[in-house]
Amino acid sequence: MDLMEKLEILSDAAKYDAACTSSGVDRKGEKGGIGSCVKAGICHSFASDGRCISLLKVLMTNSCVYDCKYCVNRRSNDVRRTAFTPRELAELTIQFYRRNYIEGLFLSSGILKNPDYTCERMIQALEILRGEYRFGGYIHAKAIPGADDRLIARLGLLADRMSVNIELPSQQSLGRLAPDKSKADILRPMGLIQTGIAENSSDLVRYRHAPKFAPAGQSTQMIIGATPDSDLQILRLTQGLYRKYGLKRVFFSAYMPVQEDALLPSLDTRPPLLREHRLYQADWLLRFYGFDASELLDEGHQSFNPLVDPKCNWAINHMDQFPVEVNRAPYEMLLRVPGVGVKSAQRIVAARRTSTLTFEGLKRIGVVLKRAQYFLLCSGKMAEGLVVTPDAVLRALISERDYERARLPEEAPEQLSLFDRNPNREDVVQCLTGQI
Amino acid sequence: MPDRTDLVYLCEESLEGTLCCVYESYTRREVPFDILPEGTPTLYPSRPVVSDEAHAARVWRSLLKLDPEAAAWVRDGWCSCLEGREYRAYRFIRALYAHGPRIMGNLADPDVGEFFKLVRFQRNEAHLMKEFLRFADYGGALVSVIEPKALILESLVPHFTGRFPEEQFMIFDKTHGFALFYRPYEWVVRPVSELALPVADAQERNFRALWRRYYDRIGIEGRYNPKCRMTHMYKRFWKNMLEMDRETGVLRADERAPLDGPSGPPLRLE
Repeated sequence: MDLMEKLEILSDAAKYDAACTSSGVDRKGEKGGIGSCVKAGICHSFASDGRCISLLKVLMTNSCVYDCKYCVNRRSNDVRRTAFTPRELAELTIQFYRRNYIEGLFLSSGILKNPDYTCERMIQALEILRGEYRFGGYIHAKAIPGADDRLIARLGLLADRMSVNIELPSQQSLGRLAPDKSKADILRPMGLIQTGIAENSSDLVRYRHAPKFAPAGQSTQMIIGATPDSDLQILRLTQGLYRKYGLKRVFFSAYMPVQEDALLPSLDTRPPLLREHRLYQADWLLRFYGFDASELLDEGHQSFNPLVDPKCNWAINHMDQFPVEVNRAPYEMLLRVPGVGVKSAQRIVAARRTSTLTFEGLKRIGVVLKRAQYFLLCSGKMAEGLVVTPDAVLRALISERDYERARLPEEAPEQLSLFDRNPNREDVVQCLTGQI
Repeated sequence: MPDRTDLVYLCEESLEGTLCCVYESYTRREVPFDILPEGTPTLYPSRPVVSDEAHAARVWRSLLKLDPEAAAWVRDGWCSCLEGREYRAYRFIRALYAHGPRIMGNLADPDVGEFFKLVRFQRNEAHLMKEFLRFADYGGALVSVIEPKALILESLVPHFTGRFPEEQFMIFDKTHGFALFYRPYEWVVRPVSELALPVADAQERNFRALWRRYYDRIGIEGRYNPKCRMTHMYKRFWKNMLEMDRETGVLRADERAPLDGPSGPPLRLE
């Protein structure tokens, strides 16, 4: 089989992995070598589905001894099988890298023979890259569940980021769809990597040149929509992973029906893309905006509001805390204002040291006033000419398309009237939170 | 300082020219209300500003002394090539002299905010090029053709020379007619008006084909979303990206042309 065919099969098999980031580590290029890393990561292209292509994402092999129902590479699936040799893969990576196609390699693998053997082959490929080519680009390696601890440790010293995919957000789902894997199997390597990173950071304090263990941290992925787990369960698990295992990222992947099975959603189900999107928005709120999972969802609200994003949803339900005064509000509160992101909040804090902010100034800073104006005061005043009607707020907070869908039924043209009471802030809030 | 609100400065179209306007404005104690590149027709009373290296250097030194980052802003903002860059740079420098480098933190200030837009544009453009630039291997040397809207070649130097220290490469900025040349451990930017590319050899063609195949397979059909792709990767970059530009096979249009033979006299539309 030639390289073209192998690449086709092995990238096809890897594409359902959502993670393709090259972030988390800064490394300068070295004379005599090739490659560097940039902390923020670099995307090199965008695929037809709009997702970033940053790394060469392939499997070492798509042969697998496991039979996970949701996976295209499962033993019982009838597909062409192949494998890269470690040298082939290293060569391909370098040639793509020096043409600036990619930022590095994302290496995963089906389980060939047994986990140890698979892990060893991955290590061989990475050793050629790091040793022979002195490759300094980004490497993301999948830890193989069930592989020996020492092998995982060696992999961690070669890779920048390691990941173990949880895939299914609960023990029951796992038992149903991935009978060969258990929760313990998955969490064990995750714990190993975590201790590896922790030990390494204390070594680094002692010896400056201690080899770095997965300097860009570890990540994981969950499939959304293959099982009946709720948004609340998923978000809680996500938060737990960030806190307990010190993960850098949790990725969500809307389930794409690729095979028929009585236990899986039928083949014509559309992937729950909006749900995936809302989960990512919530994930950002957990990581950068100081939110807690319990603030976004609770037993009474187990899934996200399809119309407004989680941040707006929170703000609408906590109108008692708004509006806030831009010139005095603490940074943490500014972050909670819809339409103000991390960058805007930082700029507001920097700008108000030298002058008093106005709405004009906020616009210049880059605040999305369309949303933020309902939640902000500048020197005690609301934005000039701001009309607070349920319709205006709704239009401002949700996307154009959703607005069309959510239009209130009595949308008939209206006569000007002297007596109709204009709806006030409370009416708007009640309308949006569904209390009317 | 008397305000001449109707006065326009005309200067040489270069960073030095713009800095000279700053010098001129402070020594003459007048505030122009616009600065235009020389040769621009205007109905307002205008003052041509003659470039003088010593004047420009003096303003540049003053910026470096205030804050090296402020000088970097002026350089990058000017390199954005956006309209009004001369005047906005001038307004920014005035604000800087009046309030000190602290003012750079205040993007709500009109002079600072407006100028920062230019700085951000140039830096974004440079970042996009780090992402979407593609090298082709011609007998061991790497060549890339780009068409950025801003002057960004020098901003690319630390990134690419650090990343490929042992390679020889050239990045040709077709829009502005400059090229960055690098061979181990030294680089230079030179004006280059035209570049004739040789035809890619078999090995190079093979890697291009492999990359295209990879690109095609990695997208998930069920999530096809061309709009999302376009918001991240503007169409103007596509013609220099081999995975997007497929009209002439694995060869670039300019590699292909000589192979197809002369195409007759070029059309003249004048």
